[in-house]
Amino acid sequence: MFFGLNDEEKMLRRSVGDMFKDKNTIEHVRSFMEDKTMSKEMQKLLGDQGLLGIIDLDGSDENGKGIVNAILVAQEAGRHLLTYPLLETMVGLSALKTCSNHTSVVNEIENGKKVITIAWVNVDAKSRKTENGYCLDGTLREVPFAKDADVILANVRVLGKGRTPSEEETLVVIDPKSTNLVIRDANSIDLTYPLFDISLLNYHLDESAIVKGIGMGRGKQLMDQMRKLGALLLSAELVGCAERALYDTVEYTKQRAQFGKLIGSFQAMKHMAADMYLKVESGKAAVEYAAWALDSDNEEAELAISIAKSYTSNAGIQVCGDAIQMHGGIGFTWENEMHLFFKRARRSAAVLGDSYSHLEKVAKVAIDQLEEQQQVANREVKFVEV
Amino acid sequence: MDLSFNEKQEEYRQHSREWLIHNIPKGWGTPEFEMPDDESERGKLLRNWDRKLYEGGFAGISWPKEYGGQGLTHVEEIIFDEEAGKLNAPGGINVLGKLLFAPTLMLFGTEEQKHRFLPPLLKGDEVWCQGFSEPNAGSDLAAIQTRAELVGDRWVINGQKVWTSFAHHADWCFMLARTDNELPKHKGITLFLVPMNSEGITVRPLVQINGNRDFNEVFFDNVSIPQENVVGGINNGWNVAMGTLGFERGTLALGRQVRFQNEFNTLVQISKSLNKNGENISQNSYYRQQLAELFVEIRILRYHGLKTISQLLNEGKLGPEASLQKLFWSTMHLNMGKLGLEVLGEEGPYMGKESVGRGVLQDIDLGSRGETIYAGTSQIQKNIIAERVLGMPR
Repeated sequence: MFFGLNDEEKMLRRSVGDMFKDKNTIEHVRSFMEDKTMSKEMQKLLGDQGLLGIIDLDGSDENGKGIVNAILVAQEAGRHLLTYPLLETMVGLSALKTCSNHTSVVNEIENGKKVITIAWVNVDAKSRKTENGYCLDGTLREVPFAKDADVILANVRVLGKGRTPSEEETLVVIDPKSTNLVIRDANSIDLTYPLFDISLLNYHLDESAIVKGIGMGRGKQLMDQMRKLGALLLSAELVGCAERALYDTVEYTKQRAQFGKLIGSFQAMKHMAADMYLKVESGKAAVEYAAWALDSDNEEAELAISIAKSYTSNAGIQVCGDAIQMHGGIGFTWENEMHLFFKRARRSAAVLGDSYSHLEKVAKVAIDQLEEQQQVANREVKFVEV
Repeated sequence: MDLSFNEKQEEYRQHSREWLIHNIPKGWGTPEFEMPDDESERGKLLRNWDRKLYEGGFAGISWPKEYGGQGLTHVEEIIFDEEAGKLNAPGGINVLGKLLFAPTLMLFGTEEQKHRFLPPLLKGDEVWCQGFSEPNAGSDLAAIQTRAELVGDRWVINGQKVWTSFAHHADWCFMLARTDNELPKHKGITLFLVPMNSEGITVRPLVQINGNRDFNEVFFDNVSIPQENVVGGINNGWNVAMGTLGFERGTLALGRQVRFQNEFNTLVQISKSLNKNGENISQNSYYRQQLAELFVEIRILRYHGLKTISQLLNEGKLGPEASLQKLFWSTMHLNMGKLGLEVLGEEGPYMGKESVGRGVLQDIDLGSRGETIYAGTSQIQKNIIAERVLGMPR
């Protein structure tokens, strides 16, 4: 039993952190917000470092599936407000790798030659059979960095390939450069991680675009797995994001003086910072535990992920919001970076299951599945009408 | 990162569980079990549990064998705590001795002191209490006024302690007294070992807000003890005390966590038995969210506990991060009390044997009010985190 990072894990975290610190500075982030073009250098760097394909769901060696490493990378991505769909790449590759038909595109993505993203929400995209494949129509939502992507993974319905709409779901690879689709900026609150909508009109879907077979519940199963993994990695990003906001804020309180004293010496500030620290560390522990659980096929992995995502969603917003408060007036300005962390936390908390929906999943285990224990009160159950 | 327990540890868990099932006093932990009203009978019952633990080989699990321990690791210790928690086993009466005094003595005591005091402590022959807080030295512990003066070859102690749990059952007290008035307040303090049957000691019980009588005021009136009853050297008491408080804040997390989980399950059962506005509480989305959030925090407490134990195993000591755990669990428990009373709604005022839940939720609500105070208030823990972990200026 050891709950902590080993030397290799610590080294990975440090080297990834150092890389982002150097190549994804606040200046880089701000210039991305201005010109909205993803850095080719970052893409190449991530590929060269071998960070994109570190999750291997079939992995059974002593490194497990690489989930613990992945959360460490995601934590650093959050800490440095990485303007690259690293999460979608790690998750997308893990899904694509399960299907042997996509080996060449997997290699190109892993090497940083192509950019992949995921359409996390399918509004109403469905496809009909045509003479030479399928014809796809409808809308996809919540597609990060779609404008810069070469490959989009989406879960669409293939009509007639299942007994229920969800059974018809099929994971497919979509080419964003096609003229039969329109990509629209969805105006995400978080300018460091733009979200897009995609409208598909008579989009031709070749058999070769299908991942792991058509319908029969396979697409839903893959997408559920991707969402779980995504929720965990996003929790890790939230932890990194909040931790950075906390430590940058603490640093500020050691320099800013009011009433002739450093504001960090005021107990009101100390207590806010301590509460933030508690939330960051608690979220971190929840993320690390869930990563271990998923890595080792623990039966509580799914519960652990919901614990992590619900906790870090609330904690991330609270911590980044308090960071603005502790900065005072300057914290409310565009030039200060605290709003970047706050907005990133806002987006991350909302997507891939918000706190409410993950807590409801927790409630199913904690309340509905709780075995009938010894009767607490040794008298008849009492009902109260209020 | 590897959070699994190995086969040997799992065997130890099984072994612990079986022993506990056969040895826990009949009916313990159920609403039917009634503690004796008489304090000394109560003390006897708890002391017997300590003796049983020792005979069963479950006292001082991680302590060296030469001091009467089992020579195992903290992992076995937490496994036993966890199993004891699951079965709501009694806490025993020597909690302060085992959790605070013994680790402190192992760090700062002489070999002679360790051999003299540790074995009878484990056996349940000598019960310890902790004399730290005073009426004018609570959060500001270094402000203690109780004095010790060397008269001939004996220390003579005068002053008053408060919040002294189990003093009315204790055989010994490890206590702080001022030995030098000239030095700055942190520097002139010494840790003493005082027999509770010494002439001049008066113990006056205090009743807590939940009606329990666990703690006391202790008065020292010219109490004379041998010169050698000092731990960690004269005027070094502050360092020794800080070590003690680290143990108080960081350990025992897993056993506590399981007990909280039991309480949570009780709360869920009660919420399933109550309706509000025609809807079962456990099906109402507001209460489901609140309960789930509490469950999440109880789980995270376990993660914190595992992390702390790993740190203890790796580095042999706990840092100021232990404050995080104390802050976390006491705040969480306070929230549990609040939610419990919210679930009870109009049943809230009634806590007799006929009431919903027989008063367990009110006990949590009231008891938790002390937990955010003792062993360093939440505000003190936050100061420690801010100053010593985050490095904010004093």
